[in-house]
Amino acid sequence: MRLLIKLRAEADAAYQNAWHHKLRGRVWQGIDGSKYDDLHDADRPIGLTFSNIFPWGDIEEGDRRHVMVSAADPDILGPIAGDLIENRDFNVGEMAFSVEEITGLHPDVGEPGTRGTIESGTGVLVRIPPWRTDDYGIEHEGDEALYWRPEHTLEPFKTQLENNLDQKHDYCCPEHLPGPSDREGELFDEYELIKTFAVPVEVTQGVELTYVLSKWRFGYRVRDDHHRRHLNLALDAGIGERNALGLGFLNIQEGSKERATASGQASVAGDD
Amino acid sequence: MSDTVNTRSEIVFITDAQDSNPNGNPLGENRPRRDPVTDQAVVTDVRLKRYLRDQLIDDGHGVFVKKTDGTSATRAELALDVLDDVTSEEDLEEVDVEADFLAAATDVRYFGATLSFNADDEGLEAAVAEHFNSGNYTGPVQFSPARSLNATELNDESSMLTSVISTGGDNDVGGYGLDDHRLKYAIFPFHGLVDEHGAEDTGLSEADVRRLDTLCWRALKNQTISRSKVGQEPRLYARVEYAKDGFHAGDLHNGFELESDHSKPDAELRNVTDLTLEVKPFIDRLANAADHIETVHVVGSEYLELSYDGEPVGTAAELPSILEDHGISATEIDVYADYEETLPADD
Repeated sequence: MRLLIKLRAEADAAYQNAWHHKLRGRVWQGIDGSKYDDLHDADRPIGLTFSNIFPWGDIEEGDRRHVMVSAADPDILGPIAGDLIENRDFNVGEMAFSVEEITGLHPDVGEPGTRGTIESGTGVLVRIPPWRTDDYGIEHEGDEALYWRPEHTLEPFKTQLENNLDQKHDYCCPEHLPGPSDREGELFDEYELIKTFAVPVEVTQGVELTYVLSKWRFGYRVRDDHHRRHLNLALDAGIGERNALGLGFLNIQEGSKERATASGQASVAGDD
Repeated sequence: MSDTVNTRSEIVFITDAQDSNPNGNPLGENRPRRDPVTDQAVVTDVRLKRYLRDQLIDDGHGVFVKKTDGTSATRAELALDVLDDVTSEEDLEEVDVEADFLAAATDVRYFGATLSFNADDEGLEAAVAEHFNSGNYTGPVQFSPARSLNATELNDESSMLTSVISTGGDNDVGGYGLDDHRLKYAIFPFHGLVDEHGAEDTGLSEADVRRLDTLCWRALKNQTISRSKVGQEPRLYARVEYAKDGFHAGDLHNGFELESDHSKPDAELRNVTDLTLEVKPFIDRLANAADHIETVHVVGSEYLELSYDGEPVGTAAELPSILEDHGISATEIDVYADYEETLPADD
């Protein structure tokens, strides 16, 4: 589940690309003091992510912008929504907004047979652990993880992405249900790399790292109920690493969902 | 209609709900409906039919009873809404209104409807009302409310998630919260009957009945996405198709119970893997009526364990072979291969 938060700009501002840490601070404000407070220190994927403030671009007072917050456990969204209602100021660095409206959304890739396209709304972080580089034929010395880049080929990207989603599945889904790597077939049918880019990200207070991120367009066809659950988990929890910083946030491309009809023709399925 | 169904079917549809509110009572703070004496949870047939209607709408079928976004609509307006080709009083003379209405209103063919038109309807709405002879259709498909097989507990926690707030323009500042009460776990057997005599009234077709075999399953999968409804799953669907003799065994949903040796106590049930369903009464009843049964159409979950006389016999997904072992003809439903055959044809 996710929250669509409608914002109104309180002042002119330049769009700040180094938004991850500050936006996390605003979103997590609601979690502070709630029963989910210990997620701050959780040494595991927590199944929470968020979009950037969109649409991108410099801001004029009165502009309407949006941000989405998504979670595999919808209960986490309760205190976040509650705080946004109580405290309407939504300031991300120099970008000042007020919260106008919150709507709950339930994205769903669709039932088995449905085709569609998922896009990464924010950069995806995939790291290759040093002990896996030999498996992928990557020459690498030292004990630092590598940020995935196109020259590493698609295989390590897919594998690390799936392993990461396995971890989220372990924490967020009933244990009797198989995770992505327990099932045959890949998560996505098509992997279209849009771009790679490097951005400085403040990962904790005062600690800044330059992450190599990538943006993607993924094609999918839902094979069965398990695959549907895996894809919906990716929509709820984000893909790749550091989702709690707003990385790996996904959207179903509007109008892309299609399912077969009696005549065998594809038909546009209702968007969520 | 030439393909109006002429055999009777009896349906058992077992669903479960984990950390979910499958049927809130708006008169009781939207708490899950429960019997206060037995602690059994209850899901009404109205709630089940709402899921089925919503799935019909998503599939592109015409549906008479719709959500109306808070606006009221007269019966005549709703009737006209499904009669796409009627836009003027003259159009009414060109068509068989009742036949076209039943052909277009898929839910009426299943569940019937009462078309009590308003006396003050005017114009086209008054004219369409005149073209319905009786306006009352008895639904050939009847579902009963389901009572959970287990005594249920409510989650103690009650959190609040504001669905929508609005402060823009002249809107009132503030929002509304939904108290969130959920069942820890409940498993429900619905009972349904497809009556061939009622089918003549609404023109329920063989294709309509075949559609039920995938519609129930898909509706529970697809229409339980929202926060309070998530956590519900279809676990077992069996449609016993009887031979042409007006016979049905009756109350098949009473043929299921939790098998105590292989199930946790009610208070400890948290998901489907915590229980085993005893199916001996169900199977024995069908075995006694095997001569009257054409076949049993079945789809089941691989996570719902079944026992016969206390002995584990496999999962609900294996029920067809279990039935065959007891001399009962069974046919496996392949939901996602079969459902496309009963989608509306493209214009």
